[in-house]
Amino acid sequence: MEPTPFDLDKLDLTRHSDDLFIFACGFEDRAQIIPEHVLNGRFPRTVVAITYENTGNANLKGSALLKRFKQVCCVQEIKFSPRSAERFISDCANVFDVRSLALAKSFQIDISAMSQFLVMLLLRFLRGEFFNREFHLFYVAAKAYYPPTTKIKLLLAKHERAELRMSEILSMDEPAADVMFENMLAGSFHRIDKSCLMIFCGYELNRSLAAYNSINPTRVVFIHSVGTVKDAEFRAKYSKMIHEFVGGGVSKATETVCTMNIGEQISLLREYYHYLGGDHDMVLAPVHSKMEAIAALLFVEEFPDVQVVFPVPVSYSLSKAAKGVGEVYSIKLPPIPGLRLAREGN
Amino acid sequence: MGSSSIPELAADLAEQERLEPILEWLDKHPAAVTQILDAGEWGCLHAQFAEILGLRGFSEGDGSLTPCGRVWLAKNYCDFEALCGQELNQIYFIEGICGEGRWSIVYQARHKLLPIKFALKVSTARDSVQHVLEQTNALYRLSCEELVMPQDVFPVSVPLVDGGAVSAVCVAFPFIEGETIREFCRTKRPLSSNIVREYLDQVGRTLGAMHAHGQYHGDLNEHNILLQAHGENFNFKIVDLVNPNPDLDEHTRERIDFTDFKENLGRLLALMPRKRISTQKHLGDKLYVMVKALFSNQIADFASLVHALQNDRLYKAFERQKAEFISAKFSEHSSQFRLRHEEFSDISVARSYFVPFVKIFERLAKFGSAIIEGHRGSGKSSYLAALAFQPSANKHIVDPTQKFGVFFACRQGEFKIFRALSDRANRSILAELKTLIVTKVIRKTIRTVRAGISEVGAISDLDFNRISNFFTSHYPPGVTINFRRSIPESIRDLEEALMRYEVGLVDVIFRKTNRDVEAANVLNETVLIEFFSTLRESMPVFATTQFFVLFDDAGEPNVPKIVQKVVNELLRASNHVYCIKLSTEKRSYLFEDSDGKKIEAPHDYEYFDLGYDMLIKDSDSSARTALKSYFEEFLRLRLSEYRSQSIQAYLDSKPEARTIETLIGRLAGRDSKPALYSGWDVIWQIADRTPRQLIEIVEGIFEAGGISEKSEVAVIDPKVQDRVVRGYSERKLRILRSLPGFIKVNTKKRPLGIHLEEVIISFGRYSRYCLMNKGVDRAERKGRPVRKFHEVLAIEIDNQILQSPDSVAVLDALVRFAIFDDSRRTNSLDDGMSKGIYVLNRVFCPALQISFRRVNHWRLSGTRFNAFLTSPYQAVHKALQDAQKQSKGGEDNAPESFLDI
Repeated sequence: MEPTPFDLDKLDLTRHSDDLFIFACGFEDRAQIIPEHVLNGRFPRTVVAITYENTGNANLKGSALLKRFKQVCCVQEIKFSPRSAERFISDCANVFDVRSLALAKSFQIDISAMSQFLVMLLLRFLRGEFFNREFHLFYVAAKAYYPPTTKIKLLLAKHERAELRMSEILSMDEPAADVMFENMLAGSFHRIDKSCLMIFCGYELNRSLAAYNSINPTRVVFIHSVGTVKDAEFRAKYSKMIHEFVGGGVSKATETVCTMNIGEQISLLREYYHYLGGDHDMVLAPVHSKMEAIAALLFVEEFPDVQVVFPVPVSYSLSKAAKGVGEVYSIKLPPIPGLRLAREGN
Repeated sequence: MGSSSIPELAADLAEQERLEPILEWLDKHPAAVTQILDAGEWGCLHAQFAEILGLRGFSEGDGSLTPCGRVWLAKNYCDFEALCGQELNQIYFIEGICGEGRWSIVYQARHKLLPIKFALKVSTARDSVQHVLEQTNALYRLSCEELVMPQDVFPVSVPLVDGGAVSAVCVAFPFIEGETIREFCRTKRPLSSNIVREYLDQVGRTLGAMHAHGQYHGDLNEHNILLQAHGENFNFKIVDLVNPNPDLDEHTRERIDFTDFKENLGRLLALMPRKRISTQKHLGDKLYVMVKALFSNQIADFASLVHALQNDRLYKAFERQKAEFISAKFSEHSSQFRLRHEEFSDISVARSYFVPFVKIFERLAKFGSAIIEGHRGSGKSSYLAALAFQPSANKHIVDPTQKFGVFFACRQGEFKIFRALSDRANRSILAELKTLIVTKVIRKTIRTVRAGISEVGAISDLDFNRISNFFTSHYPPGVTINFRRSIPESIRDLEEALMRYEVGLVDVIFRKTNRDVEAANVLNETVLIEFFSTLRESMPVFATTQFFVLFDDAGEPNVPKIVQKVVNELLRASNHVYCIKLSTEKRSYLFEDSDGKKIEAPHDYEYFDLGYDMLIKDSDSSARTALKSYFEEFLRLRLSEYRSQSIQAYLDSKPEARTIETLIGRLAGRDSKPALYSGWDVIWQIADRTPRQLIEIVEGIFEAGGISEKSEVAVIDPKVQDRVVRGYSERKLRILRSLPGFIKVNTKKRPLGIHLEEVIISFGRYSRYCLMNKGVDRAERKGRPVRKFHEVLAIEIDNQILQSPDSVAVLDALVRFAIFDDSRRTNSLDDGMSKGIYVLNRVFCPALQISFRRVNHWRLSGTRFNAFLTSPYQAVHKALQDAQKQSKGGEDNAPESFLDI
């Protein structure tokens, strides 16, 4: 389950003739790596490409990549927009209903260009429909993430001098456009009026605030993570600092985990669920890393009453995108707990 | 113990293969079978087979036949069918074979004379009845009703296939109707948590009693536990007692029984619904910790299990750990100033801080449907929460036996998923949705009642039959009451059954499954009335109770319009048992039902606008004093731990007019001294009738002024007060940027928060210009002219027609997010017509450096207002140009007085 560094030269998606390759056409540098490698080597029989809607000219790289794939193999294309998640699921159901796809023995998925919302939706759908298949994920880390470390240090210094204003932090990222729900990730609410929101905190205060305001929880758990990039500690400190502005008078807890340790993240979520799940409605907002989106997915598979909310920004800005290409990781997802029985039972 | 896992099964197969040569040899020598069984030893067999037989446990070291070996041989060579149709012991007529165990064959038989059925268990493992009688006598001493006790024991002779016979023991049991756990698990699902509770209670306690008396079952597999289910009533029967348990020590026998017990529990747990609920939530904490302890070997035998069932030790330990976890992980807000009722983990504290505006609350607490609109922080939720029944609260604001409130915190996402249905609403979906909402109300009422019973103790006079009849009439068979359990547990089971039904219904609505919920009755307001009437008739404590169903924050996006329409239909149903009260932000609620018919106030509901209800129309009226006193009282409770409970002691309270006039004069630049937003008279007005804003400002001032509970009473420096007020105001302005969503303006999509911020800043620019430039000097006082300032806080619209959907959307957002208050209209002095006015939220005034008094209006035509809403910067720029031209031309608007708040 844990992400393990992966040698790209060993990538061979044609070992099993029925393997299926899924990738998203993104605009970041790292989004190109795995698909390029597949294009330059032997490509699998079946490829599914997810394209983002309404990106205009912002995603020329993604469009070019898709075009190249179409020239050399049969590509099934599914469009994704956070605001039409239900349609995306319906399109997935149509595309994966094709016999050749449904017969795939394993799913090889490059999540590098996928948003957290897309990662969770896609995997929740696929693992629900094809519960007995293997799921191998590939993830290419970036070299540098937004906000740049220099800016973070500047803001931290300002904060220490008590000169930092909330408006300055809010202007660092795009305002939240909406808080998305999808039936598959809606969980179920049982109790009277207590809820606990667990936020995987990133560096976008707007999104955390939107998640918080949409739930109005009784308790909030801020889960910060320390990544593998340079100055990760500074980034975690910055994340903690900006989340001081979230939550008003509610009861708050703060945790720190390792970004690349999915097991640790799930254990932490389990612990909170163990003690609070009985009399709180639990809500999860994975707004930071894709690894945390995977942890959230596995957690929700185990505790399906947990609701997942996704605050999405008004736009994804090229200037604020992650830059460069870092380490490549592979992740093999564990089987779904009790899913087969649930499907038969329900 | 039966072979259940694949490795064991594989081992069994391997055994059979290896035993094949022995069976082949015996087939060829049928006489040898009789010889072996009679002699009780394998002596006649070839020596090469001895090792295999020994390995299988069929042969002792000396070559004698073990009970296992005897059964294996008998099963292969006895003609059990031959006994069918015969009489045994001259009493039992055998009708046929009804089962086959590891050690035995079970026949169904009837008594020769009496109309009684029996199960006859014939075991070839031993040929002596003495041992069985000893076991039977010991079991009778236990007197457990879950045990199906032997009625008779006698020897029988079972013919062999190729002649001869083998002696065996027959035990007669009463024939019990029911399904084995295996059969039950194949047909009944999803299962409720009650079955787990009953399994632990009935089977666990019985086995505990057996083991305590040195008795063991020995073969407690899924076939040997029968289950009689009547709705949620489960009776377990343990059958196939008196197993030979050959040659095992007590510890091993105990372990085998306990392992089998856990395996069966695992089978039941595997059938718990998992789609939208975790096992922990489904079982509830109390049962879950028990089950977890069983599987983690914290409970390792039946004695420990019985002990745990009796004394709740595990659950108490869990509760203690939970309290420690929460205390270690969560930092509680230490201030006394909290307002949101969600922020209080102790509802009693929240209740003690509740100060209603009496005029509003008295009306609201009356029976009858109501819709409450108000700004964020205006106290909508607190008013509704005060009406809700909170069992853990030590103080009830309304008498729950007369007014029983069931509270839905809609903001927490219970209804949000139905937004996806908005595009494809049809009659069928709306009907299913109504069934769902009615079920939710019923479930939540059941839950609230259960919580109440848990708090006040047992209620003995609950009429279960009446309640049961209601659910039988309107719900599928799974949704029913378990009469065997205590009242709280029965109600809990019912609540769980409703939850399962609800989850199934959600899937039906999204057209993902097609289960029995679809065939069930469509539930509507009539059923809801019937339910509440049933509750009244079933529980004497509710005999005269009126039920309040409370939906807090029921506007969009928390409750999508499609759900709002359904709620409106429930709200409109005039009746004497229930009413619906809901709160919503302005312009986020749809006042119509599924057919598009408007719901009308006061015919269908009573309308509350918290902003309007706190309006004061005259600066010197008693209403103003009352409102000010209300806020003073509001803070007095929160200052109960402070040296002084009077807020004026900390914020100063100079005569109102003097303070405010000075402030306005300085804002208008008439005085070089800085304008300070300070003093109680200024601050309570800046909060603009919004308790949350007031509390946040006061809390900030106390913090900045270093005032704590122990501090001496002293007026906080006005400069400090001003700094906090301005900072708060600016923060309120900037935080608008974080509002999620887009807005379409002049064909372009813009971030909602940014556009609203522009509107405020633009208005502030105009207002400030007026304050500084458009005043009029009036009569002289002490030789100096007194200036009447042009204080603009509101926009007055000449005609209310908004030209474009864009401007309608902007205005809706401005009102909804409490930027402009549309609570009132005014009669124009010019043409006598009633006109809409939009008053800026006073909390923004310090950030804009303008007056917070509504002295003058910015009068706009509909067209200009439209332009202001969609392009605020440009509209104000043009307005200022016009104003400057007018100013140069000597024109000026005469100031009008609209002094109010």
